[in-house]
Amino acid sequence: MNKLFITHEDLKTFVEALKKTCDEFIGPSRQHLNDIAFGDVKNDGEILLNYDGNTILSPRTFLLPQTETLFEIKGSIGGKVSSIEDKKSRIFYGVRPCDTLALSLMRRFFLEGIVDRPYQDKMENATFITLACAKPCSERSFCREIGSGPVAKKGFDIQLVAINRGYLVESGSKKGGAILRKYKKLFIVSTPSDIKESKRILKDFAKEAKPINYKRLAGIMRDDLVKESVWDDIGLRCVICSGCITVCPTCSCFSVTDRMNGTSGVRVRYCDGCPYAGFTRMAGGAMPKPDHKDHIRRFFEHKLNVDVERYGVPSCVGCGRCIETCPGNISIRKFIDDAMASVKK
Amino acid sequence: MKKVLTTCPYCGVGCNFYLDVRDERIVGVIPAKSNPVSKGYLCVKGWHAHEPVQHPDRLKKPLLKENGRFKEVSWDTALDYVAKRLKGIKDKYGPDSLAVCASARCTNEENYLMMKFARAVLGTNNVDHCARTCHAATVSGLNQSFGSGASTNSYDELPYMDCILIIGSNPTEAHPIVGWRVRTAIDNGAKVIVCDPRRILPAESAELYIQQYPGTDIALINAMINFILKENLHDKEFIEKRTEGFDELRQAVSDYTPESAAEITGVEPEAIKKAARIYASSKKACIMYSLGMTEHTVGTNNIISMANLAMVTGHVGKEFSGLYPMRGQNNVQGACDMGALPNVFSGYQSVTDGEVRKKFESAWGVKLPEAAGLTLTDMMFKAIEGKLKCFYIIGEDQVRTDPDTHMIERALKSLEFLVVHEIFLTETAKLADVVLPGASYAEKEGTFTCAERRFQRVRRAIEPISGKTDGDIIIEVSKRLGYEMESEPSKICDEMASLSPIYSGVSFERIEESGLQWPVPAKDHPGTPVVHLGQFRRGLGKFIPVTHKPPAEVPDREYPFILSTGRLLFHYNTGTMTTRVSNLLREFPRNFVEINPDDAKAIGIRSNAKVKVVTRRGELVVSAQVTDKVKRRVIWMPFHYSNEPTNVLTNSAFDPVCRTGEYKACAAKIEKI
Repeated sequence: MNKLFITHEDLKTFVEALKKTCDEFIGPSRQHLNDIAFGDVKNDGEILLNYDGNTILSPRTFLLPQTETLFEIKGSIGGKVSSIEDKKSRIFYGVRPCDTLALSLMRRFFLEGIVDRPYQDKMENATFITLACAKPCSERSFCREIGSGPVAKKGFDIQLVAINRGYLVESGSKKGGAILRKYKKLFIVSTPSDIKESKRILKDFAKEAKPINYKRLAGIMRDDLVKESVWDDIGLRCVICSGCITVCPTCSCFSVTDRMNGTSGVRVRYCDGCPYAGFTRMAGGAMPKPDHKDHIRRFFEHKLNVDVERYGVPSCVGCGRCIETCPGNISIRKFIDDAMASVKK
Repeated sequence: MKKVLTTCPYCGVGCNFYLDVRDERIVGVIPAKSNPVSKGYLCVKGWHAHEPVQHPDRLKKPLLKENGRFKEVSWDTALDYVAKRLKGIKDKYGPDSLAVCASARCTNEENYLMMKFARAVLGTNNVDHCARTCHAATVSGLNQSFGSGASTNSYDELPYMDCILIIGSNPTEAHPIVGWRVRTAIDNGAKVIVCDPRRILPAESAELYIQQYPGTDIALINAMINFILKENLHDKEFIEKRTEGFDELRQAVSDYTPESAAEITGVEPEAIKKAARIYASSKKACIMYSLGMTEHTVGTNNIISMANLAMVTGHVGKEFSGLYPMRGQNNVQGACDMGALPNVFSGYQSVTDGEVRKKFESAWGVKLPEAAGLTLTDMMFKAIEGKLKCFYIIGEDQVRTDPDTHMIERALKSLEFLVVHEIFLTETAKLADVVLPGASYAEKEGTFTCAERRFQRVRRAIEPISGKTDGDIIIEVSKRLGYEMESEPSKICDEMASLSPIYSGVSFERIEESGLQWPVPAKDHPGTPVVHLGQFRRGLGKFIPVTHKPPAEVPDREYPFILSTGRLLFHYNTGTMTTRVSNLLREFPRNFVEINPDDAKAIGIRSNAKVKVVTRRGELVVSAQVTDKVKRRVIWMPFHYSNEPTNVLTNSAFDPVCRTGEYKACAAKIEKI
């Protein structure tokens, strides 16, 4: 379809109008100094309509929060359980293309096959407005090489591409199309020179990027061809901070626990995952993979091998957040190079 | 929905994160990339720091003990009762029959109030806190050598070091975001030397690993100095211009050849020589240490020996050098700084100095006690003797943290009146007459000071669960005793700054952005990343000869093992917070003892077998972890488990100067069950 165009001023009007249509308008806002994080800018804080870099955490933190109460428990025997529902309508604005791809992968995980009701509730009431990237967000991100950026191909309702005089606008879903129609007075058809400008920006962005042959990488991992020394090094570096699985926009693992005060309380689910020994430890202390290096291997295998088989693409979207938060200086990007280069004989 | 930037409540590194608050519930943490300390990194405890805050086990109402059982009472009832009892005891036995234990978990402003409360309201210098059980040796040792008892340099120099000598410190587990900087230093090509009785993770990536016996560090360091002098690797110019007492040091270390030290330390002479050579000949070299050095009967001397080593090689008093004492608690640096110590006011100003006292007397409008008070260690002995009648404890669990649990229990049970502020009902709180529910870090405004001397803000994310912060409680008790105190945290900070020359320039406004590293002697002073530049705080650095002295208890036929204790990555002190976080508890749910495979074989046990660890003070049944992390004759245990408390075993023998107990070495035996 033809791309639409919106001016800087009209985008403000558009956002203000959208804020009135939802319970929470989740957008990037500046926190302390240069920290940018998603927040509810309808009720608190200033939105950044355009911004450099990426948010510290992805929108996952609203769809699968670090800790989330699932239901209330009252009384023990014959007690009552009542679910805690989150059906707030949310519009997410300024989601980066890497996180947009992550959302479409997470949607498949949580909503196809066994449906995760708390996730579904939130997704059904969510609208995603993606903001394409004009320049790399950090030295650690590699969206261009893994193919998740600088523009999203799918997974958004509306996508904005910033150019000098405003934004190019496209819809990616029925919901997005309906919104654009509703506010059609704010949009005009883009000119050929707008399109040309946006193409140049995106080309500059992706200039030196060499795509990662992730199918070959998955094959190398599937055939267990990565040198043991690569895994050994990773095992020695990981200090089990759990940062990688908490910041990753596609990590979906959780555990549940009951927070009881006497016979009443709540069931909580919380982020859980690969780095912990306890994640797969069995009764009596038996460990299917006793070496710590294999726990991080599990993380990498899932992202770069298993999900390539499952979804056709890796579930590492190249956002670089895990690299930026790792106190062991482990880099999944460096691992990819090491794995490709160090194929054992 | 809001995000509240604050400082982590666990170790002394001082990481920052945002608490993610939605509908009055804290649902997660977001690392603060803009923070100069943590730069977007956190450890596993930090990533879960929100979880204990709103745990259902939190104490919400004051508890008053009647006929041996607690009952919930109103704040007014509890506070009136506390004030009445404090006054009664003070009138009957005099002010020095009371003591206050301030808290390294609380803010600077609260610690300032606590020490003011002890001195101005109760009228005693009997105020101390848990630095007594950790880095009191650093304060007393470095003060003698350099004239200032805190870290000499800053975290951000670490990645650029050529050599980091880590001794008695496990940065990866106990101070993980400093551990990240050590990791980065290694990645940048630094040579790391790890000296530790336990083969800790950094040892795997180190240039050299030295496994000395617990309690033999002075022999090891003196031997390094001996070798450095013999090989002419010392920094003559530095020694000449910046120090005094070198000849005495040379004399004292002459007996400590690497060969003679080998016998004491169990370390090959070649390894000692190699360590000495790498450290001395590196251009940018520092020493990182922690409780492995301080928690000994020779703790103060251990610190002095490291100061000697640093001065001999000129690795102090400049950028990219120095001593890094890794502080264990979020605000143990600050609690010391605020004068929650029996001998000093805030800013390390002596209580026995008439001029200083006059200054505080005129500011506070009361007459202040003249003699230094009791240390925490001595408070326990005085309680048993019957001289100390009342103990007011804030956020400390001595029954689980102090060595020789049975002795501590006896001491606390000897008191006429015990008040405890706590957020969970700890073993110490259970012994109290009144428990006042305090507030966690997420419920208060204030500041913490981290191990690089940086004041940082703590900000309120939710209202206090009990209705009051620890500061509020102190102020209300004080008011009932007829003394009004300032309650606004920023104004308390201003009062503190106005009375403490080394913090004169500190204010909430100035630390808002990125904190400030003390000394900050003026409002326009930028703070001090590196101390002792050009000149030591005391003028010349002082070489103080120290000699090896074995631990108070050494292995013998009956108790053939050396038991050492320490911290795990996943838990924090007595585990009141971390054992209430599912992910953390699951990693290490129970206590255990590490034992070398040869010893395990000799006793006939395998991993996970139940064993009984016995010392002269107590015994404990735990599972064995057979590992070559420890060498023969050495066993190691964590101390985090309230229901399997390791400190029933440890020795309360203490350093004669700083009064810190010897947690790191005592004699033990292991019995197969």
